[in-house]
Amino acid sequence: MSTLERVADVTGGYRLAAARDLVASGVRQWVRALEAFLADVYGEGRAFHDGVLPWRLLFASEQFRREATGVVPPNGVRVHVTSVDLVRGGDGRFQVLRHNASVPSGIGHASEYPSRLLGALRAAAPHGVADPFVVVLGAGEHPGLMGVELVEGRDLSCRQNRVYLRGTRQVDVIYRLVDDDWLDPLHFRPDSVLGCPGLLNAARSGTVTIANAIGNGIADETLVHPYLPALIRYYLGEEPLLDSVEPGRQDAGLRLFAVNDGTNVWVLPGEPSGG
Amino acid sequence: MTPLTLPTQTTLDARVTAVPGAPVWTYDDYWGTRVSVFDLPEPHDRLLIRATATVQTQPFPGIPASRPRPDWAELRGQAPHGRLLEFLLPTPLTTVTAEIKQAAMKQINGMDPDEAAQAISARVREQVTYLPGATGLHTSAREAWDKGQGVCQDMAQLTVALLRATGLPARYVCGYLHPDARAETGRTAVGQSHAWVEYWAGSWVPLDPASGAEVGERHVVVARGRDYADVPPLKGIYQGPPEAGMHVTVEVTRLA
Repeated sequence: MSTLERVADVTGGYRLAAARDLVASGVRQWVRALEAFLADVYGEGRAFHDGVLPWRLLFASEQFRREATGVVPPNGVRVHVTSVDLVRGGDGRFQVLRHNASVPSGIGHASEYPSRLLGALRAAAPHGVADPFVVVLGAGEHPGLMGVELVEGRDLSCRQNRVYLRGTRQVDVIYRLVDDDWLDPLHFRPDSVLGCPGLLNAARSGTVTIANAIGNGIADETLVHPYLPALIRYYLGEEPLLDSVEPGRQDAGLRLFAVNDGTNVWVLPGEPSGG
Repeated sequence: MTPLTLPTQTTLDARVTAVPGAPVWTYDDYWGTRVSVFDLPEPHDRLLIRATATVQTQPFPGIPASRPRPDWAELRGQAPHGRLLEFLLPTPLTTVTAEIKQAAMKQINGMDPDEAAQAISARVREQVTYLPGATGLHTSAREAWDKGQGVCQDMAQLTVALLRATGLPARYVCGYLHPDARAETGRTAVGQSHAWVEYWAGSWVPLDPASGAEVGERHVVVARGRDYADVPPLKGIYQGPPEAGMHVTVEVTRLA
């Protein structure tokens, strides 16, 4: 069943085009709020100072990576690709069951994904790099990304805050399929061989972009999820198009992917937008 | 290894260098610590890291008399909901058992927060005998209590754990200490890396459970965090045979 048909399935009586637009707009809004939240968590913490979010949410979470504070991505994007699981509530409104803004899986099955994602990764490269060299860092399955090489931690090394593949070719963007804990033994688990010491320092000094950004896991926390509609109002000044709902007895109705290239948020299958 | 600049301390000049030579890059981390970073890919058989600094220190100005100190009800009611929660939550290195907590609560019964903090610091000095080598970098507060032996890192972490258990936000402070109360000008003394504590009861107040001394001009603050793991002086990854050993020396000279 195609994604469009599944949207029709979930949307029931809605006119297909209107439903598709609403869902796409809602997912884009959700992603923009996630971006604002992460920039705030690893920046000033305004939402916490203003009492919109309790400090406990931050300090009691292992996903709050203090090491990522002050690391600013070159094009401002931390959530290059997200998965968003949607259902439709009894009142007809669309609801987000969960999202994954750290290492989402299953993207290989979305149409248009390779070109959109590669475009976003290239757009995320450090400033002034004419032809960004992108690698995928992973150990698990990966469906392939249009000629982009899949590497392991031991293929990478860091010197003077720059990342090199096999010691010679400088890497500009790393699309990582590896969780934060395993990414950099200098800052995280020292026993990890899946990552490479120095990656976080290189990202901090601006010579490499890590996608999705280190520390995104805090946005995926179950305790954060119910606050998203409030965060949409707080950060974006907009009315939320989608509700958040606790995973419970519902099946995941529909999984969509959103790719953020800094200019547009593409909701797959293909929805160009003004972001 | 770079001292901070604070209301009671100004770092005038600081450098961290590595021999064999390697360019050093610096940044300030989440805790406000000035971190120096380098990498050394060429083979070498020894590594020397030298940190030097000129620091102007002042005595601790004391507890401000201008506003009333919060009582226990205010502290326990408010601190968990604000920014100070970060220094109230136990960490793996600063967790104590319910029994240890109970003993501390019993000891401070009837005392106000500032008195209680002093009493806890004194109690840790009684409980833990200073003995290098008895504990390691990863020893937790609870282990140090049970063992009854440790170094300043252990005493500071145990004090932090007990203060938090009673409801006082507390942070772990690391830095240097000039060993001599009389501190003659121009004479270089063998100093130490040192660890002590600050608690919050309306304002941050320092305590030194390991030396028992009043925290003042002889203390040089390098970093503050929740526990040792937030502020280790040095960490890194190296490739090579098992290390022969690491040696640390600290020299402190009073200039004026």
